[in-house]
Amino acid sequence: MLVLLAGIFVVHIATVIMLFVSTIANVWMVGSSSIGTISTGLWLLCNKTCTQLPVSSQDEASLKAVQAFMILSIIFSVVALILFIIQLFTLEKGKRFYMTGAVMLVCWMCILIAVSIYTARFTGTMVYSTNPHHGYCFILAWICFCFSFITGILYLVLRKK
Amino acid sequence: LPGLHILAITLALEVSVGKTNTVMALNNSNVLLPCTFTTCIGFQDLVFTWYFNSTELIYHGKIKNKATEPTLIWHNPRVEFVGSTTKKDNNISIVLNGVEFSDAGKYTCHVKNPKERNAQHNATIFLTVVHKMVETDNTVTLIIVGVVGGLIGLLILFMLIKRVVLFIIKKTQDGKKECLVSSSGNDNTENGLAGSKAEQKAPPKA
Repeated sequence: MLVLLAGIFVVHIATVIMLFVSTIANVWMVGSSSIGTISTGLWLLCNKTCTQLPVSSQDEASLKAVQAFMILSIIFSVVALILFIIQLFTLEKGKRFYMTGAVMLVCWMCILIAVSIYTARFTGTMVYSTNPHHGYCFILAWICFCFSFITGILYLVLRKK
Repeated sequence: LPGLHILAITLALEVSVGKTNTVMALNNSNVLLPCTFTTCIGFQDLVFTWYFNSTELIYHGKIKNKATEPTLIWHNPRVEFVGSTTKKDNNISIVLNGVEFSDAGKYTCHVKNPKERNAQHNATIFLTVVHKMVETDNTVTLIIVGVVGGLIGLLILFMLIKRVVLFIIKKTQDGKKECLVSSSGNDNTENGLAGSKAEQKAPPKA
């Protein structure tokens, strides 16, 4: 049980780090063009230098929603981490990590909303480039989606030893 | 010692343009280009100049000492001096009147202090001229604050409801217990009390 808890803690930290990387790096979609490879993310469009991401007016609200929910997922995963450490020391034996699990599941919801909106709206075509494919940040976000769900459920199920 | 000598020069006279070095101005307005300087050992016959794009001189002034205001040597007719060196900080800011799109670029505030062995320092401001001022968009912040606030509210509501429900359950159970205790008569009220206490402990665990 203790080994499982330690394993979940490691997975949780990995999720937090991956969320940070995924939100901050601008490699959600990658495409090739005449000037080389272009990568776009949530914030910037990068070639050799980075400029502001061009977004059509109908997609503007969706992009803002994705940005907001990715930041929210980071906030909630960090809060869940701190809550877990607090509960590790203050919870009585045999009790479950309800608060941590609940916050982790809220984080899961936020990631779900963010990546769904992004997948629906922004993965069709990419500006200025041909052959767009998904970058590593997109993959990391989906991995975090799975990890956060697993850790959330496990926190709700495990008992403190 | 050459090291100390260089250190003295770099720290003694300093020119600063404030927290940010970019200024945005509306077309056809007057824009303030801020600049202040600080000296370690005071100044005498200090010369300050403002340059546009490093080559074009737009203001040239001289200050005798801390007690006097600067005197003008030459200025571009559209540039006005609005600083003051007699107050606590040495302000040598200028105002550029009637800003046009061609005025966008680099403005350098340069200061030379003969009292500090002709120490010099400068600072640059980047001016951009826009058609109209755009308000910064804060939808992302609003969404984040809304969701976090909503969740905290839900959490507080959930805790309150849980307490109220537990309180109500305790009250109804208390009511039943009182009936039982009083009907059993006067024997050993301590047992009765202890018994009801044990019963009360059960619901919170469940």
